[in-house]
Amino acid sequence: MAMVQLGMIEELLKSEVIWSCTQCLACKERCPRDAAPYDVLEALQNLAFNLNLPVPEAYPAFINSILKNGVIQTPTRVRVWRHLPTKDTIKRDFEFRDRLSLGLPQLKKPAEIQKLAQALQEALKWKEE
Amino acid sequence: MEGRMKFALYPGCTVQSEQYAHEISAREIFPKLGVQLIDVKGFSCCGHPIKNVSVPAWLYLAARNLALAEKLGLDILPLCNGCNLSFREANHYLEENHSLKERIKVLLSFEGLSYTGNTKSWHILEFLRDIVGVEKIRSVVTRPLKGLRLAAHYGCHAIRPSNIGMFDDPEDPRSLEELIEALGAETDDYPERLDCCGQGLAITTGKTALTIAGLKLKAIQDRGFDAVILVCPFCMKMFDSKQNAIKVATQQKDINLPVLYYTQLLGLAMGIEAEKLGINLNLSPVGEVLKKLEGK
Repeated sequence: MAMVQLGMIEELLKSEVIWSCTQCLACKERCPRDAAPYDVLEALQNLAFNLNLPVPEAYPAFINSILKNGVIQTPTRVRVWRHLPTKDTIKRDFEFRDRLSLGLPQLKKPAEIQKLAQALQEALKWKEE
Repeated sequence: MEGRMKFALYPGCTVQSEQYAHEISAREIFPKLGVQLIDVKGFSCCGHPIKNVSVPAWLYLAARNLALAEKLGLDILPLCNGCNLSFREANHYLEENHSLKERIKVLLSFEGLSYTGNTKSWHILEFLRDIVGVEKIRSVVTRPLKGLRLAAHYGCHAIRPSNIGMFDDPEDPRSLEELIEALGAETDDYPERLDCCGQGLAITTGKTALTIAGLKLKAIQDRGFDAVILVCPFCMKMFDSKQNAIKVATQQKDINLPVLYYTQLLGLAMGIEAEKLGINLNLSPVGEVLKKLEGK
């Protein structure tokens, strides 16, 4: 916040510090001046992205996945215990299962994914909030 | 049940791709509580994961899902604190920004969707308390959870920011405690009750995220609770999925705390077997809770 007040915006945009927030929003809840550090960070993060500066790799990965499948992650196989573990369980006795074998309905990506992708690309180009 | 007990189930990316236990337990218990869950074709990411890099992209994605539910005349029930916050905050934001709302509407028209902002997103705790009702929940308990002392963990995005209109006191929420007590279990205040799980840092500074989660788990365990009860798949990933990684990162080898979704806990109190609630998917030592319930 001190760097923002000093106008050190360029330094901040290139710094990892703007990406190291848990986003717990406690500052947003409590800030008596309605100038929560979270909001400042989010504005700086958006600005860094709009200026094509480096951002944590998870974000472009999320965007690419949404453009392709509509979601940030497609279904994975997960570990399922053969016997419920206690604190004394040493042997990690798992099998791997997917949605179908767990009795969950299969997922389909949005029917008109190209139109979703087109609209999302448009939104990503907007510079102002 | 009457028509208004139909709700659009929105599992969200994380639940539907890896945190299956929340979806399994929700699909198991809600029909038994008189709630019909509708699967909506075409749901996509809620937008929250990319809000940090693009507020407009977040608003478009959030409004898109709300518009899909609106088309069916249904309110939306997300199984994730982040998704619920995304929808509620988008509704609030677009209500106050008319020019932006008009621009988002143009993007939605690509798929022939329309958005008015009239679709409500219900937080699962709010839904259980206000739509299902605590009395109804009390009435379906066939196996009271006597003897269990459980710590409530809300997750930051369930209760903050309150200026967009949340459902519980941001500084002293009570809904989860009320719902735990309705099952015959005991709960209690603890100083770390509203502390964050740390997940927001997982994609950039993983070690710090594990430390934050470890501090809370250790505190809960040291205060003598039998388990942590939560409602958010991201908090679950930290406290349950990563419990072993937390032990290593924090050098706290004695952390051994069962973690359950509230829907799983409710299912147990309804006498439903563990597997039907996806409890065999939790990675923390959940067998301890079952042992205690069975009086072993």
